[in-house]
Amino acid sequence: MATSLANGASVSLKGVTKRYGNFQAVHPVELTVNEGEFISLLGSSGSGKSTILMMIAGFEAPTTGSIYLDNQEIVGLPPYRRNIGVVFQRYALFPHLSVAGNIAYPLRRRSMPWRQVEMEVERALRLVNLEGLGDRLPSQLSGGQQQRVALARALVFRPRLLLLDEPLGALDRKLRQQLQIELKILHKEIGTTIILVTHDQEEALSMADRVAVMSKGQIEQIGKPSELFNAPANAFVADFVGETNLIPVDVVERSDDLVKVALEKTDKVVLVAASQCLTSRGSALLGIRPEHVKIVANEGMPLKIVERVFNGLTTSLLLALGNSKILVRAPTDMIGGIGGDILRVEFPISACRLYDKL
Amino acid sequence: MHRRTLLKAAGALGVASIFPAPLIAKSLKGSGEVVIYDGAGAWGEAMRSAYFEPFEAETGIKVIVEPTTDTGAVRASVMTGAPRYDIYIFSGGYANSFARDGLLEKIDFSFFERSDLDAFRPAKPTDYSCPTIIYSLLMAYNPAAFPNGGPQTWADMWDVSKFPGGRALGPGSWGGEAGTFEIALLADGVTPDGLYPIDFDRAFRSLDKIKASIVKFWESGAEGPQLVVDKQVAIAAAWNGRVSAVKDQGGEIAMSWHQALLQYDEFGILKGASNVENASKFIAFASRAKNQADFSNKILYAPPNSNAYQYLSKERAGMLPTVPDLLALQIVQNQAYWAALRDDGKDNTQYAAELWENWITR
Amino acid sequence: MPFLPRRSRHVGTAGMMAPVLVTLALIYMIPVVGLFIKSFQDRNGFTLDSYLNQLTSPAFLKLLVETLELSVGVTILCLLFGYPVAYTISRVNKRSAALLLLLISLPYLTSVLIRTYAWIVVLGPNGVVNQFLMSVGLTSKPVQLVFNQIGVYTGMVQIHLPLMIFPVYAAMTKIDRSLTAAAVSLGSSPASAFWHVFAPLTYPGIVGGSTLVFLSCLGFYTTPALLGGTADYMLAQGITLRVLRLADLAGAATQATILLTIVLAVFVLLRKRFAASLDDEASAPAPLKRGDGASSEPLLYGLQRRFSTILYRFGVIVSQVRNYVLWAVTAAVMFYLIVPFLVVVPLSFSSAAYLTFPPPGYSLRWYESFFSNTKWLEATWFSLRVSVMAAIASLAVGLPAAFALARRQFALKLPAYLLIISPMVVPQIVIAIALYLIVAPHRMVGTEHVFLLAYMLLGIPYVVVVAVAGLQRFDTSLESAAASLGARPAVVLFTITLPLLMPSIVSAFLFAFIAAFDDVVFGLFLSGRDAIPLPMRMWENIRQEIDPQISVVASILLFLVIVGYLAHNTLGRLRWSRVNGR
Repeated sequence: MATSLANGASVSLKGVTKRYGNFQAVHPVELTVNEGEFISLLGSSGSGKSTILMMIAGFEAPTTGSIYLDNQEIVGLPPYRRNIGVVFQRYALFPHLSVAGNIAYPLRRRSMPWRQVEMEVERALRLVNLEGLGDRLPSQLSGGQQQRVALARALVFRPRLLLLDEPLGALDRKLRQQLQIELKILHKEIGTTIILVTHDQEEALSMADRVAVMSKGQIEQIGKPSELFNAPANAFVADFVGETNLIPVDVVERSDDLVKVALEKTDKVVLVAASQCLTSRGSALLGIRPEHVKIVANEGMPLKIVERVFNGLTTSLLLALGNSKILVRAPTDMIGGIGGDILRVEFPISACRLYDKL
Repeated sequence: MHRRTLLKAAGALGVASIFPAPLIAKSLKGSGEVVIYDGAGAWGEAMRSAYFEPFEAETGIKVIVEPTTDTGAVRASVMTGAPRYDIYIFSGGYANSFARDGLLEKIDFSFFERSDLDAFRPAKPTDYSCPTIIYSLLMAYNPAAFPNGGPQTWADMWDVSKFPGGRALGPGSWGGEAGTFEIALLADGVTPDGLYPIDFDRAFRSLDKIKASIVKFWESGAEGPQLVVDKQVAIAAAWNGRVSAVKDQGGEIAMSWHQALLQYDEFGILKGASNVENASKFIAFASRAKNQADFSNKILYAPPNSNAYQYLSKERAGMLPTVPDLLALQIVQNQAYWAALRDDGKDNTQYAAELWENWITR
Repeated sequence: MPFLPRRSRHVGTAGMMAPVLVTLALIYMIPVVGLFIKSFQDRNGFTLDSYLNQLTSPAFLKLLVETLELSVGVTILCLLFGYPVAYTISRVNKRSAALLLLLISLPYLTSVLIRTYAWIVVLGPNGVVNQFLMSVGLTSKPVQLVFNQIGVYTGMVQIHLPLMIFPVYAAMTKIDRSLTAAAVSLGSSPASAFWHVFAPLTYPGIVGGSTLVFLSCLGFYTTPALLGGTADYMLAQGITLRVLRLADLAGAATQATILLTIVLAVFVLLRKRFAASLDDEASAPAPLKRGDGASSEPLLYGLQRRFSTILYRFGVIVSQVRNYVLWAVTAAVMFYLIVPFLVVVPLSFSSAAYLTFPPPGYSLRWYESFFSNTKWLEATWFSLRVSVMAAIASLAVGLPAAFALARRQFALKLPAYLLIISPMVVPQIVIAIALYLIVAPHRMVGTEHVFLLAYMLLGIPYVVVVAVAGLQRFDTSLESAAASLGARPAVVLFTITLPLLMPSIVSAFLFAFIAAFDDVVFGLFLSGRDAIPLPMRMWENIRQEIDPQISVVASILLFLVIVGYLAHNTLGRLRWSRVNGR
């Protein structure tokens, strides 16, 4: 399978909703995934991301709306006819079957000749670097190995779409990072369309071509990782993707290219480029990432240092600003030596973005 | 006194002795089948060789043996109109209650020899029933426990200081069938002719005296002798057949015939039976002296037809409870009493069972 | 299946419940309700007299309380002894587990009569236990160990232990051991990991096992009657007396109705527990994730890791000690379970014509008489055949219902569950006579079919209780995974669900089989010249005379099981080597 490129399928969701009783789990969702694309649904638990995945896989039926796989409506098609690979949160390896038995399972269902099954299983094991472990039972494998078996099983029948439901969530940090890289390489090799569901922004940003940020059953923003990071569509995305200081402000003055805001309950005024202003209201949130807060020797705002946290290469400082606090992060060698309990900072205009209040 | 008791008791059964039996019985030849119960085990074996096989040979009527069951199941079968057997063997006087409730057919005594009918003793046939075996509920004990001579009377059984050790009795919830109430009264000094009607209060007062020494109220006839052989108890009420059998086999057990209760089982033809005539023929056949002797040679149940003793060896007869010497020591149970209705519509067995449940849970 | 659209699920639920409900309606509800109606009637029409009589009878109330007490007591003891044994079995390899489970089911092979006799021998004044107590000087003269409560509990706990061990074991096999490891790595002590992580996950098994033991005890009176003393009289014994001897059907029906009402009321009062155990998806705790919660705090994580290493080492030591204790308890319980065979097998070779232990001499006479008697052989074959068929049929109608009960949401779920288990509560004699009154007019008595139906009634409650317990904590994502891999629902069922449910299915089958194979009560009513089950033959035999014959039957069954086990093992090994050799 590694050699024969199954080009990925396209997926599109049109007006898909899901309602459980009185609870609207998914609000109308529009989503198009291109052929061979690696897309990630990012959100905290309860955001509806898993429900969308389950609807694509066919385990849940949408309340309304349509789902197309390669422009073919698949709502109503039972999961076993969808030909979609799924890797489950806790792998869902069949405990009574050996590793080889697990991987052969989808091939047997497709009535593949016995010899060919053996060959395909071997290839799949090789693909996920598990040669020679075919006779083991899943319970005899480590977590990372189990994850690879689950992946091999989901890929062995060459699905044109692969769904990953928090596939790395049960692994420790180091292994997770290693597998993230492997998965990404694998995606390049096989070209299958992948939809990854995760609550881990780092995972989503580092692996996916595009990321859909979800909250409360809605897609807040969809875009390339850099777009999400640099141009969040709203305060939620700004906060969820990377860290952001969200400071309540009052708009003092709007002009064609500038918006002047006052930090709430202070007389300090900050300028924001009009192109970075995403709100028309008088009361808003000023977003600035901790790395973008500029530390200055003179002038700027003198703020009291509340807490210092050493992170290795960087150091974070928590500063008191009015009633709230802001986080500033800078290379340790730059601010590590700063003494005293006052830090002077500026909010560069290029780093400020104005959002509606949450 | 014992003889007098016996006669009185026999009289108390209220048995008419005039049956429409001709001097020369009608031929038993026939066809078809008769469905019967055989009690299984050694009893069934004895029935087969002494009754079933010769009956089939003589009459051409086939004997079908249906498996054993309890009176409750038999009663239910008659009530549904599909009796399990043509002939059932009743113990504990249940034939009387079946007859009372209209669940039995009359036996046609014209198939009986006059001589056989007249020889029934101590239990007599009635319109609806005919005794088939007689046995004795007696006292069995472990002789090794009493080197100076074992207990003889029920009063001895109650005398725990003189005859120490555990006791076992039958369950009073069976009414008269396990003899417990009669035994308790006899132990308390009631004379055999004063037994009926049972004075339940006195019986329970008597039982109270020995309750602490009673290890167990047994639940099956085989259990009493087993408890003695296993030395779980020193004295038990038990049926003679099993005690003799165990003794013959070398089991350490002895028995006393004094004040033993003579009980009997009766044939009865179930209402709605498909082969009523064949059933009467079978009962007549099984009432013949020679056949009953054959039967008693196979198993230690006594023949109700006293003429059967003519065909039994002295040695064999000496082991059977109705041989005159032993008969004189014993008391015939009034089985009809236990089936008799009380004022509240319950029979004495039902009444005793309720009292018994109250007593043992007290 | 979980991936079908919601609407069609309801049709499916009805379809899954229908076989069991129709079967129960025909062979249980219609007959028993008919009989119960009689308990409200007298010559003048409707009356509550029968109920007033019973409810004001001190004997009845006392029996009721004592019966419930004994049932609760036996259930608790079975849990105390059974839980560690199930735990041990769940930790050994599959082969040893199979052997241990087999040993546990051995007591069932002996008819209740010979088994209780063995206990009388063992516990009697000259028995092994008393000899031991006297030889170590704990007592100078024999202690009364039988024909009292000690005897009753000894016999009752022994026969009911398997009913507890199997469901608990089945629940334990489904627990991911990494969970406890995870809990330990997160800083809980092994003991606390056990109590807070492991034990709660075995809850469905405990509920299932306790339900079976408790219900079975309610109607079990032969063992208390034989091993108990003068005061050990059970409610079911009184009810049986009323049906079989006193011809008091109304009284029996009344007592049975009151017992059923009380037991069902207890279940309804505890319905939250049962509802929880019936509704797995809602109540299943979120799976523990290793490393979760630790990764966000590097400092704490490091500390925790260092601490947890120490804690874990300590835990390993503790669990080693506990292992010895565990093994000791397991060995003791196993010995307790098989001890009657140490009496039964020698007894079968006795030369005596009556039961006596030790036998005065040895011979094969009872084996000869068994094999030369076609009655015994026919009855054995009949019982084996019909019991196996009934157990399979019970699984066939019981399993779909268990699936519906454990996985579907539908109205009247708890009532349906209670209805299905209620045949275990109503004393069997009452069901038997009720069924008899219905089938007898149709000339069905004495047929194999009627036994098959009646035995199904015995098997279905076991199947449903065990299978519902087995379906708890069943990881449904495995079924979803199989579906996503291209398996249609039927294929998922046969390749994933049923194989994983096998420990529960096997124990359900075993219980259903044993319930049928051991049955005397239905035999009393339903047997006919061509349909006589083995227990009926034994019962006929022991009515008048107890001889070593019945110990032969038990010994032969034991022998067959051992041969079957060895054959299976050898075949299994052959297959194993073939697979590995290819």
